[in-house]
Amino acid sequence: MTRISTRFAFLLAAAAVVPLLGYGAMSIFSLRTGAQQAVIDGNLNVARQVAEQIELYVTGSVNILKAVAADLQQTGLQRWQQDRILKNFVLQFTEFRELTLLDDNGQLIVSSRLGRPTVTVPGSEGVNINGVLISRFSVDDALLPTAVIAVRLVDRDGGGWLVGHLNLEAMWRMIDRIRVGAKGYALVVTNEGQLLAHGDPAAKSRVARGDNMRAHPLVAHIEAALPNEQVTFDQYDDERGPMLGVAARLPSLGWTVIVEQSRDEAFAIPIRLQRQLGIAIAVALMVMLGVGYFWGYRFIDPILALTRGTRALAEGKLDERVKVDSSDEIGQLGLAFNNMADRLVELQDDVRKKERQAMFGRISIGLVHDLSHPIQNIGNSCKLIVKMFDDQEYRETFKRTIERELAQVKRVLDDLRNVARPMPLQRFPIDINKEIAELVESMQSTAEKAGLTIETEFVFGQLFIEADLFALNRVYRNLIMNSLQATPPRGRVVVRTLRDSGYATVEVSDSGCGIPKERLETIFEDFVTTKRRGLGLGLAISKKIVEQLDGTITVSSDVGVGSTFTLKFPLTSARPSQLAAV
Amino acid sequence: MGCGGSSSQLVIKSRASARRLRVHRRRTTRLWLWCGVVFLAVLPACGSSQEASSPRRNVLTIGFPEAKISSAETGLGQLITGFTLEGLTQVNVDGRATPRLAESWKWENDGLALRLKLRSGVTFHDGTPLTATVAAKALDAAITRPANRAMYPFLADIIRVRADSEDVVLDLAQRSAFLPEELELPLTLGPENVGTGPFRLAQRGPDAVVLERFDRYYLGAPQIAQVVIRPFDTLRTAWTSLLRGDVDMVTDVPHDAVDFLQDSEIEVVSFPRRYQFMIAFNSRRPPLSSPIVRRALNTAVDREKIIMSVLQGAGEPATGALWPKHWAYDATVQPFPFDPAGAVASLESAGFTLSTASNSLPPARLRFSCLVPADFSLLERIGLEVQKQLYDVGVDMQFEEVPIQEYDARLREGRFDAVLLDSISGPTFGRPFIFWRSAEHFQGFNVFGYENAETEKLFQALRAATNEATVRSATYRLQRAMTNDPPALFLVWNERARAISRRFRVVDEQGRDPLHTIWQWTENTDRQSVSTQ
Repeated sequence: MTRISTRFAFLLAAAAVVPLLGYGAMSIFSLRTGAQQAVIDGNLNVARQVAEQIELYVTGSVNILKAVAADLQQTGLQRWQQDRILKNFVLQFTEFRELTLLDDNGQLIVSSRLGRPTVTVPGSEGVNINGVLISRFSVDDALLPTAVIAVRLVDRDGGGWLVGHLNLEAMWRMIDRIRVGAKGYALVVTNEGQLLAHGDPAAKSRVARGDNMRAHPLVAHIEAALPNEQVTFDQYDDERGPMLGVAARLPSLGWTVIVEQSRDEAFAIPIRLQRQLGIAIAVALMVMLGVGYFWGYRFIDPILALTRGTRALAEGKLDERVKVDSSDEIGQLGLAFNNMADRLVELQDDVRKKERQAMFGRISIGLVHDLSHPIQNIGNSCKLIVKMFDDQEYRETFKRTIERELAQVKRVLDDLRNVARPMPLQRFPIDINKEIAELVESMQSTAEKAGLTIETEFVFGQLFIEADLFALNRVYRNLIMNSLQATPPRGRVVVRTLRDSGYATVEVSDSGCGIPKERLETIFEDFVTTKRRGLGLGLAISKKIVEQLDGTITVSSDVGVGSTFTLKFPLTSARPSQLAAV
Repeated sequence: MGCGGSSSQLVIKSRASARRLRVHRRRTTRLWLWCGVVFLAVLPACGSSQEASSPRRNVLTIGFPEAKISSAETGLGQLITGFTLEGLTQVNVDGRATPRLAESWKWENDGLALRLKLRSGVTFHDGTPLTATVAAKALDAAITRPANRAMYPFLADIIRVRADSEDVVLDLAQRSAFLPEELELPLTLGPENVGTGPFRLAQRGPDAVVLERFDRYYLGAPQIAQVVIRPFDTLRTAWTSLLRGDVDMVTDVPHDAVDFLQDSEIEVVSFPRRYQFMIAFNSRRPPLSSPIVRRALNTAVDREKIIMSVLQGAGEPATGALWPKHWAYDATVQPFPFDPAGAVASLESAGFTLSTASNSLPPARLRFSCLVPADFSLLERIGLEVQKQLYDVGVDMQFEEVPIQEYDARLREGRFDAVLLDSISGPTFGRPFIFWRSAEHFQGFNVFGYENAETEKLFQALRAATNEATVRSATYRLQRAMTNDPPALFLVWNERARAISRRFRVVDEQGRDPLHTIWQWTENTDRQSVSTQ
């Protein structure tokens, strides 16, 4: 049976809890992945912007150089004018340490330097950006990334090169200022893996040493990435712990801008949100379960009360009433239940009255039946004794008659008493096989008079149970007598014993007329009989005796076939104590 | 019954086992307790032995960039001198002399004698106690050295040094108000130049100079046991070593690298130098012989811009030849304003009009060349900025970069129009005195040919001053005189920055070189030694 409370719980779970949990799990997952992705995207934006800034800075410097070159070429300026221009540009644009004009042979024309120039035209290792050659960047003595850039001049007097010493101090300071959270830094790595700038103060020594970052996971990543992939990210572990790194490429220079942040810090907000969401969902779940339980309890409780009341009624407690205060259908059901219980009490009283009346009637009839004959015989004998008092033989017959009839009366009264107050039994270990055998032997003469033979089928060995021999024999005798009375001549009455899982079974079967099904249910009740005479207490007393001996008695019967009464008693390991031979 | 007997045996056996277990536990506990006691007893010893055996503890390693120990490099020599030698006095930031080896002094004989009371308990590194006799002898030897006489011109006023009981008495040819400041020159003994400083020279090799703590230093033995000075060829290698933790200090940090270096492990301490950048004119050569020209040039330059664009704000505009923090300096005297229009007007009024000499030269009112020593990048940047600003007022100043030896030679020989230099100019008045005094009376560092009778008179007045009021008055007039007739284009008082590992707790006297208090530095034991790698 599936309880309604269980069904209600399943309903609540199906309708609310499971969807909430599912929603919660999805939300947490979405939140976490979304928030993490947002962090990664944010950092990627930073890296991209830094890369763009550097790109702009470098291209801006390139454009400045080109502007200077434009001022110088094909303008017919005097040397001193060119000298002034170069010096003014160096003073104006501090990213240029030096600007020098060289002829095609590399000879000095003019320079912003007060002394000898230090720059030469970059060789083949340089990169070309918008027609400007840029040498490999390196870190100078001031730990600033510097490079030599050169632009070709076209002049009517020939060519030449405008060469500049470019330092990216502004880039370096920008990298230095970048902070992502409290511990997130940016760094710039050239296409050869050289570390050019690092925002982490503790990592400055690496810039000073000129560390190569080729082994950095992101540098390797972005190198391996497709050419059109400009950004990448990765999570990795290093000496600082688990890190989140994003990288953006500078396509023109081949540099990589990396933004690193400790994973714990980067994902602190998603983790915190996730935790908060989890707590919120758990709290909501608890509240919902609580509310559901409370509301469900209020809903189910009246039903359970009705169930309890119904059970109580079924158990015979007709004074049980339910208290249902709700004003809905369940309340009406409760009211109807109470009314029904009241009516049942009335009906039961009626039935009891009628039963009592019927029982009294049966008892009266039985008593009249069973007592009238002996009393009549006693009465007749008393009348005769007055006449035949002098007849010695008659006096003996009178005595026997009186004794016999009074014994019959006594038996009837004893039966009545046993039904009302069963007599205490004494238990001793007895061997059923032996006792039944003896009893059957004593009843064979009775059976023969009815044209029958009592057959026996005993299980091998002894079957000891704890029982009162006298009372148990009465039971056997009653059952065998009933079978003999119900079985026509040349029928069979069989008494068998069986041993079954710690129990001793005794079956009394006959091939008599059988007992109708509707009577089987009440056959062990008091004052129920199929005979014309008797109080109908035999089977009732037998049942009481069997039950007093911790046994059971059942009957199976088919009308026209016969009946079988089955007795079951628990076996005992005790044995009768043997009296010492005197 | 059989079952009951075996359980008794089990009980007996388990009781015995429990007893043995308890005994074992007691013994084990005792053993651990003893181990703990022994460990605690040994721990300090381990700590001290660890302390003693660690090469880094209590040793300050200084990285000196661009130094070569094998050559008599002035900077390195000065650094070593500062640790090992001392004078009778030392000069404060405000130019006043304060006691050092001399505890006090007073003028006698109407200012013609200076009596110095020596501090007691002072010992030279070789154990020689500082007595009046020893001090007199050492001072006498010091004042006769030509380098000292050039650097400390007022030593020339001393005619005799004598010991008098516990005092040293200097008999003077004339009053010499600045003599106490001059007595900061180091006192040494013998050819080894043994001094009285907090550290003594222990070893001088090609790779390092090692100075050891002088335990009998009269102000208390320094906490630092040893100072090791390591030269580096370049700034970069010096900083790299600092960042790596191989050295604890780098003596010189350019301004554009301060932001780079300063972090939780390294402290950068800046202090004003006694040096200022200037373009010193050869006042013998026209057109720079004209005070109008020199004054006009001083007003043509935007000093603030130089400070911001070249020195990243680490500097103060120069106001003239005198140290502006001197106690007698008069701040009410207006410094040179930035007035290019005024400069043009002055030049025009002096007859310097804009003209073009040839196509190969820019048009200019006047032209002159300026010597600059090679490979001094900071001077070059300053020169460029000044050159442009002068060009804007029609002054064509062309630089001539020469090697340092040629630079020195041409300076001494007067073969220059102007020189760009970073010159000591404070904190005493003795410094500007040696550069700007009249060459008619003295030949020394005054190679620039500056002659101004009023200035000379005021210098002499300062020299002979006997009270502060006189000094202040003369200073005020000197300032004005040198503003009217500036011997140079005074540019910027600059700052120096030293990078020091926070492993050491530095006693920072505001405005002073932190190395002056090195004998008071302690190792910062509160900090974990963390590599900056």
